[in-house]
Amino acid sequence: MEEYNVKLEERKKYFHYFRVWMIIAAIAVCGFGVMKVIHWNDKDATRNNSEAPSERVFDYADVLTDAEERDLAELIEKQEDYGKCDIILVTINQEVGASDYAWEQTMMDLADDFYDERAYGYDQPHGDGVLILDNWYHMGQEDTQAGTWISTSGNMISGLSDYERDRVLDAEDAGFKISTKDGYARAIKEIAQYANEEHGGSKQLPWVVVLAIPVIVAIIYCLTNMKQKAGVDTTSATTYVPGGHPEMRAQRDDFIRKNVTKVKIETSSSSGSRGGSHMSSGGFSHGGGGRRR
Amino acid sequence: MIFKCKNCGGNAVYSPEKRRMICPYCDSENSYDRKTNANDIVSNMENCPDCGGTIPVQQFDSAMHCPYCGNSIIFDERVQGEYLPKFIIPFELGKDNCKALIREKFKKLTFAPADFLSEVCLNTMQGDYVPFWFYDYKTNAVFEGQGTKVRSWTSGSYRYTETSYYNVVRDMNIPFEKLPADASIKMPDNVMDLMEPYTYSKLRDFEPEYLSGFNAEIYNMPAEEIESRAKKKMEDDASAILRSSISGYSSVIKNNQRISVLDRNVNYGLMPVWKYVYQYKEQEYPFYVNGETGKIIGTAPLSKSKVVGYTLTLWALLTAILASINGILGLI
Repeated sequence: MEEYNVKLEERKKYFHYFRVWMIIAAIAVCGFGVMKVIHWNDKDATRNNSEAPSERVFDYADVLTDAEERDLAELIEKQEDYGKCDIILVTINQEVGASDYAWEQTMMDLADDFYDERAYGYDQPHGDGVLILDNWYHMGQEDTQAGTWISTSGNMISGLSDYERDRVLDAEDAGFKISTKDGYARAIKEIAQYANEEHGGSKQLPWVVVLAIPVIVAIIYCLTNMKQKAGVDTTSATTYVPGGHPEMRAQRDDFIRKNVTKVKIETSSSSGSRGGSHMSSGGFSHGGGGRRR
Repeated sequence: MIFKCKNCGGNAVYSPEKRRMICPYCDSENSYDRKTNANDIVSNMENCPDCGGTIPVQQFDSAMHCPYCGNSIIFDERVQGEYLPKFIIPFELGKDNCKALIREKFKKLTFAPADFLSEVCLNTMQGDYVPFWFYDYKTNAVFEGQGTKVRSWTSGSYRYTETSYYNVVRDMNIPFEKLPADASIKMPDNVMDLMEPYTYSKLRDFEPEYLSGFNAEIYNMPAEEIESRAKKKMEDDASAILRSSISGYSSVIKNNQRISVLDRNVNYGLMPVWKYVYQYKEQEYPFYVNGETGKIIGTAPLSKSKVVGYTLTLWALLTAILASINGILGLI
């Protein structure tokens, strides 16, 4: 009888202990169910541009194998769905100008025109999209004009500003250390990630995080509740000294010497970035920027 | 000896709450007689002076309960002569107060077994007077070392750092009074150390009445045998006092430190401790409560089934909540 009462009491304590969590969980699960029913017939936004060609990889510089081109095309197809923006990769091997100004101007014009002529854009012709123009001219030589220009259009002009563009180019540079294909793949994924964020993206947390948080919290909870201290020492050094104050017979703090050292303060400089939007020869608005190798 | 109520003949015991002798049978207060066995000392130790039953007295017991009549017996020869305590702190907390303190301390321990704080288990709690040696030391503590003070500032494009060196000397007389060390083999030293401090203003001259209703022991070993514990405490405390008297330095390097004992004295006394032993899965979990201050020492057992059950429940609920919220965010 007593055992029964103990178990019954324990069960009551258990439900009492978790009552708030159980109510919140019930509300959350019901809320999800209701939302799921409401959004049952919703469909994801799809591509809305039939004018642009389906081809995405143009390897004029012939730096990729056929298999690599196919792989990158497949990757772009997936990433376009995720980022809701067109992604085009063009490699060239042509002289575009030795000076920085000439190089930038020519690369920008080539990239913008390529995009405009084929009317790329995910949401509409000349709409959201990013074109990677990669030039391999005299790569590795003193007079090299190799480098990457990234042309942006539509919402991606703001979605891929100077900072994000630098991150894309950094990812590409890091990937090039492994292989040319890897460099492009990393740049494509990075662009898609920024595009996704620009389109509001998914507000969802990654599921790995969603599943990991409860595990971490549960472990912390378990360890915290298991931890016990037998007791703490509540005595002090003067607990057994009558009055708490010893008799000071001598207290001396005699100055002996001093020395002074001086160190020059180093100053550091910082670097800036550039960017902005412009009109292409076709009359469409583009953004972009690049980096020479 | 045994204390008998003048009115009803029941066993009069010391009440921590009332701070006097009471009869639990007729509720009379401070109305008792001392009854000793008419036989010799040896028989005193072997038989209950009230019912005559054989008492399983152990080597160091000075007070205990008769297993037959339940009366509280105090062995005369173990509270006299060399075993006469100089002082005692009587129990200030009764069993009910003590139970309440234990319940309060462990009520938030989620993973404790279900019956850990049950009335049945807590009623097994027993009050013990633990023998202590109390050491008095008059000491002289001297510290000699070098202290540094560092200050820095900026002027122009340079940062300056000035380091000043000082000769630091402290010389002080530190008296320590009643540094305690328990003289009981069955009480763990580390637990008895954590039980400190006791409030010495509550020390009383020893009277055997204080033992009535409780268990007690005589000291299990002479003062010299355990003095090293008290000396270590004294040296640690003296070092800490020296250190605390030195301030204002960025760093201090010790060159020399001496702690000398100028005079020493030792006394024997009894301190009150409640002991509660909880049995769980064939293992004992002892808890000790300072019978004067209420300080509790001990760790409770953990129920594995509760650890697993509660942790998994929390994990499952959190997962359900976060997954649902994430699912909703994906639909918005």
